[in-house]
Amino acid sequence: MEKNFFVKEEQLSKSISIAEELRKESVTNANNILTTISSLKDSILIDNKTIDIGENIVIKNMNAINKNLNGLSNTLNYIIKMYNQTIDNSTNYINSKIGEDTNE
Amino acid sequence: MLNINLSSINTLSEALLEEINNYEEKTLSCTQEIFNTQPNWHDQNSERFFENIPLQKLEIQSFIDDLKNINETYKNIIKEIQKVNIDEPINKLFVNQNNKATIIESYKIAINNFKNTMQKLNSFNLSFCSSTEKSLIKSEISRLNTIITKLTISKNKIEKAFDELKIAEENINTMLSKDLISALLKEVDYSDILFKGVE
Repeated sequence: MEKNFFVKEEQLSKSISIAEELRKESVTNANNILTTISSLKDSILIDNKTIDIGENIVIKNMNAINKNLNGLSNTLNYIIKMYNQTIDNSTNYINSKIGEDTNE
Repeated sequence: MLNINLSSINTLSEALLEEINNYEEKTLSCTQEIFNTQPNWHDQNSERFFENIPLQKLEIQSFIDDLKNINETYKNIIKEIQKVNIDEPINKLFVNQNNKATIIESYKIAINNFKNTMQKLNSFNLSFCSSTEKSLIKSEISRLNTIITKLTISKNKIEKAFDELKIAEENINTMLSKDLISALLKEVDYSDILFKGVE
């Protein structure tokens, strides 16, 4: 671990919850975009067929972006989890050492 | 054969733009919020993590631009249709170019029939008719003449509209295939770009 390793858990948690809220809202917008693009597609028929104006690409890219945003948020959550685990392990280790010392 | 619901495109296109703007605001704010956590985390992984966020933002922006281009395509289709010189505003457009010949032929037959009738009326010997009868026949000839003129104007307008719609249809087809190709070229596999998330 680097010398200047630090995690400010409270600030990080606050930002994560804001980011997660924004991500959820963006997923709602994404779904609305797909519904609207699908309806728009039905507004034009050429020889009785609809034309795909990149709808599949939109779906693929939108899913990838949502997944990446989720990934960013998950990474930060993972950092907090690791941080807490390290603290717990250290505390346990110190406590066990204190116990050993007391027993001695 | 082209079938376009213009009023539906107009309404949906406005709604789409609003949703795209909301999506842009939310996704970019989300990325920014994550980026702002920089002072709250530092270790050997944090630098790589925060270096990649601006790249993620750029990819989102590029995708938003593609979405806006799709919306712009629909607006261009509307503009293309509006170039067609028809007196009434078009809300729904249904064009079957195969009908052009039949419609124009029907006009020609009707015009010819009226012309024949008019010729017959013109060839009548009216010398034995009273002045009232003469006046009635002349007025009928004049009425037929007006009808023929109106039908001819109408036929020419329809013929021109069919031709303009054919050009619009061809332009729309080109526009759609161009956009589709450019969208395919821009296709990016975003999953390779950044973090795939921590399970």
